[in-house]
Amino acid sequence: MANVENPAHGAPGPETPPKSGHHKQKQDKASARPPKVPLHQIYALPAPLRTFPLPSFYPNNPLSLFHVLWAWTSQVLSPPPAEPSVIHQGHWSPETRSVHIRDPKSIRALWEQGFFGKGNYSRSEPNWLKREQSRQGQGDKKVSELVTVQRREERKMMKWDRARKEQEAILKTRLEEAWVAPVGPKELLALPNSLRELHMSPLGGLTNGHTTRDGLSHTTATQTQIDSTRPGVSSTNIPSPLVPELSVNGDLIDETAKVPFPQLNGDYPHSPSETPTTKPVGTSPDIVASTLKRRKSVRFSPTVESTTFQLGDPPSPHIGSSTNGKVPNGDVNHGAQSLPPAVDGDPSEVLDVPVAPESPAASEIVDREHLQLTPEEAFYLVFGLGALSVIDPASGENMAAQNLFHLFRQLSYFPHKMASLRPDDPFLVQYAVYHHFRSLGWVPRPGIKFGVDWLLYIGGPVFSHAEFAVMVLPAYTDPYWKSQGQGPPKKSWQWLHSINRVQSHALKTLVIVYVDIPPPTQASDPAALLKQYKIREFVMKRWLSNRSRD
Amino acid sequence: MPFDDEDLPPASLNSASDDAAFDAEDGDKAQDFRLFTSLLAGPGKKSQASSKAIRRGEKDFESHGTRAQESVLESSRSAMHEVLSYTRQHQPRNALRGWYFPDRWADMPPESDSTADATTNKQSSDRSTKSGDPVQGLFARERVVALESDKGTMLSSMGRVITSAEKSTPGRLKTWLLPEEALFLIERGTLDLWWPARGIEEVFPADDGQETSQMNAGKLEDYELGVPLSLQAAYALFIGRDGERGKISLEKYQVYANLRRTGYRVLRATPLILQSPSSQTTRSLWQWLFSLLHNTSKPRYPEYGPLVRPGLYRSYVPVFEQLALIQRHKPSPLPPSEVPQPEDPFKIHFYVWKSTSSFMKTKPPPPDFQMAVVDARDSSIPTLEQLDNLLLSTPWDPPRNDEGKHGAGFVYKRLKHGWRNAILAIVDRGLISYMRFTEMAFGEELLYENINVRPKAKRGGRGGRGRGGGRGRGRGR
Repeated sequence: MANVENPAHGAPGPETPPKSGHHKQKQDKASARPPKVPLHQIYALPAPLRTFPLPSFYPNNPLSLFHVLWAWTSQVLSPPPAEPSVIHQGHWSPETRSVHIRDPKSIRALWEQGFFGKGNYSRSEPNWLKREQSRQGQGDKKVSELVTVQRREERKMMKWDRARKEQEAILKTRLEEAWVAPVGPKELLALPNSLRELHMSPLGGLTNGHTTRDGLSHTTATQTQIDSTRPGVSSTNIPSPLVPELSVNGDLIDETAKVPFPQLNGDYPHSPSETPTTKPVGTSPDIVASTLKRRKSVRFSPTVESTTFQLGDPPSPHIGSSTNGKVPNGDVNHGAQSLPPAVDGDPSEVLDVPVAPESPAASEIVDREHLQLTPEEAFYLVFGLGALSVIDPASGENMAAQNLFHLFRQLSYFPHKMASLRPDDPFLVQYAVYHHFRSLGWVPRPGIKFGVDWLLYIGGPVFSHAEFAVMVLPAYTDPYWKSQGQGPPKKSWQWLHSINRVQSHALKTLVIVYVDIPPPTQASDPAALLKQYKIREFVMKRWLSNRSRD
Repeated sequence: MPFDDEDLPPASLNSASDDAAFDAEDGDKAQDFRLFTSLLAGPGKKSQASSKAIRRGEKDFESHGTRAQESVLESSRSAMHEVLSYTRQHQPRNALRGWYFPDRWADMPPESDSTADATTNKQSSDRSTKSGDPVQGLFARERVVALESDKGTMLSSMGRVITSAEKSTPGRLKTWLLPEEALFLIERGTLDLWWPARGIEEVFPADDGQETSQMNAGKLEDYELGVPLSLQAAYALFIGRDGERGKISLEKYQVYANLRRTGYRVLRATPLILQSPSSQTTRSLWQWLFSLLHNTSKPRYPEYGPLVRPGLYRSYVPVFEQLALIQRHKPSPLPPSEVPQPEDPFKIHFYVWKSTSSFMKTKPPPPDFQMAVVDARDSSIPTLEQLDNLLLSTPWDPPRNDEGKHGAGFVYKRLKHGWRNAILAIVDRGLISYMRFTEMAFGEELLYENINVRPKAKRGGRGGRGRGGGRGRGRGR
């Protein structure tokens, strides 16, 4: 659901989060601070609690003893408020099944101190306001989403460029091969169209190229034949001969006529860089319009290299603004003008930002984003750390931990169960895993985008990519479940392989977590209940027999 | 990601090729026959195909109509043709002939009994030295093919001479093959399998001398002794269900043959010692261990939280210690008497060695890999007990001791190495997918205690190394 990193193909090195992180600041101090704040200072606290360590004592520096003493006495005399000193306010939203945090300070605090929740307009970090400001040109705030979009764009262009170069190389070899001249008369006769030519015009039989070059009127007659026989020989981008006006354009005829017997003309350049397709050709509009439907080639602008398509070409990186679809009206001007944005697209256009109702005159943007917490996150903050209190929208009062616990367990069933909650209900199982990894210092975040239950970050998503992807499975090892005939859900090997394949593609390691479900007990308080759960982790990885041999 | 590029080939490390991960994952690629021909081309012969380096991740043979590509394709084709038309010659001196005597050793004790005896008689408990025991891994009952001679390099890791039988019994000093070994050799063209028309006494008469095979060949004509068998007949004789004596299931044979062809040494895994049902004691021991773990640090948890009591904290360690609520797994080596018996599909079937290590089939070194064979259609993914029992039956293999290192890379490495591991070969109608399962313990890595574990803190914090003030942990604690 929420992660800053870019899962695509696991480009090595987490570039995006750190870059953008340098610009993340507490909003109230945005202008006061120097622009570069190290990441680990912004995200110093692993939990929304503060600690008050005593300064260290250095034996070789006796003065430091006084430092320690001073800190100690000052803390004793005027003790800081008991932590957690700030209890954030959350609102339970029954429609979205999440807890909303609306106070901007709480949003920043919960994000920076433990990476809880997700901005409802953002992929992960709640930075809609910053994105919006940078979109409107207020300040040069970099947001990770924009950087990601930009990098994706660059990668797309890179791939597109690579594919284009490949196609060009193929075309080049193809043309080079087509340029080989037939040597002897026998070979010439064996060529597909020369025999017929021979019958038609005994004079110009061998030197077809000369004939077409000399007389333009003759060209129109023969060109049809040339072209109809061409597809087997070469399939370069040659405008269709269906257009009768083609003869008007000498340039085009030159090209088409030369391809079968190029060497006979003698004066034609041999260098492949000036091959017909890559040469910018100025053609009249109507030709372009009528030929487009037959061949996927657009040849009316100097940027013809990047917009000439073969049938086998990879699809355009800009599907929306592809020029191919727009031209057939014959409106060449329109088509030519639409080219530049296709080449260097504005990344901000691609980003789908929910646009707030704003008047163009008003420069002040109201932050309309809130932080949303999953039930597991909210319950951990309430039950584990005590740093959150959730308000029931119906009554407007604080919900106690047991009410929340009960509510989340009920809601995890579909349809909701009002009574007879089982010890293996989905919320309990998932929360046990969440609490387990949180209590060890990991940052678990929902992993639905990777087809798993949780992703584990070692310091938080701004520091590095998640290394582990966690899939949760219940286990029923207790004799009670055996007597009940209750077993774990039977999952096929194909299921496991598909999950593992996704993880290895995203350079993550699949961890299968079994939650050993205790038998039902009378205990209903979360502490006593959760203490009975046991967590077992297993790594799964494909073993490649031809890579592990030696 | 800098840490898990263990299996990425160096060629695909450039970030440009996004096929890298996918490609590295694809273990099984089509063979490049051009490499083969370069092997085959002797000094006198000239190979037409050039064996230039293959570019990974590109499918070359999608036609784009150029002659250059066609010539590449043609050369590859001709290379393949050359390889396939290579005349394989069987040297008469390397020819092996085997006789099918399925019931010769039927009265031998099954492997599990003999090992139990052996271990109780000799060293009692140490599992690592057990593999050195000559009786271990003999599987005399299962051996059904007797070889006339024991020459050939293939036999360095196959076949055993059954020495425990009484002297002057027929076939005593012969090399006897297991069904999968015999079938593999037949498929390979190394072995000729014969069906005996006479008894074993006549095929191997007076079986106490060295020169017997030569002598009996002189005495009786070949076809008076028996008839040669086809490959189909061999399959019919050797492939059976699990647990049938002298046969092997098709899945296991496919895994065996695949591993052998890939260049590994494979032996059947010796079963664990059958012990008196002492699982009750292990269970109580576990409970005792866990209770001990919890008794030592048993805080009273507030029933409805918050688990972290409000107060003044000098570091995050007590904060996270109060949060420890759910039972964590603590891996520990088990004495062999307490290893549970794994159930059938999820138990170790093969020991696998890399081809590089020196190898003696009578005294094999500790195996490099432990492999279980599972049918993809008949079984679903293992339950916790199945997986746990499978892994408990493999040797204790904790991560290397680099405790002092706190970087994220070391944490990942330790966790991924795990404490025990086994490989599951999942066979889906002849297609084999190998999966490595590792026992992990996240509870062994208390991240909150490590100061430097945040990956980027190293690079980003030039001046921020000494964290004072409101920072997490003071230096001196």
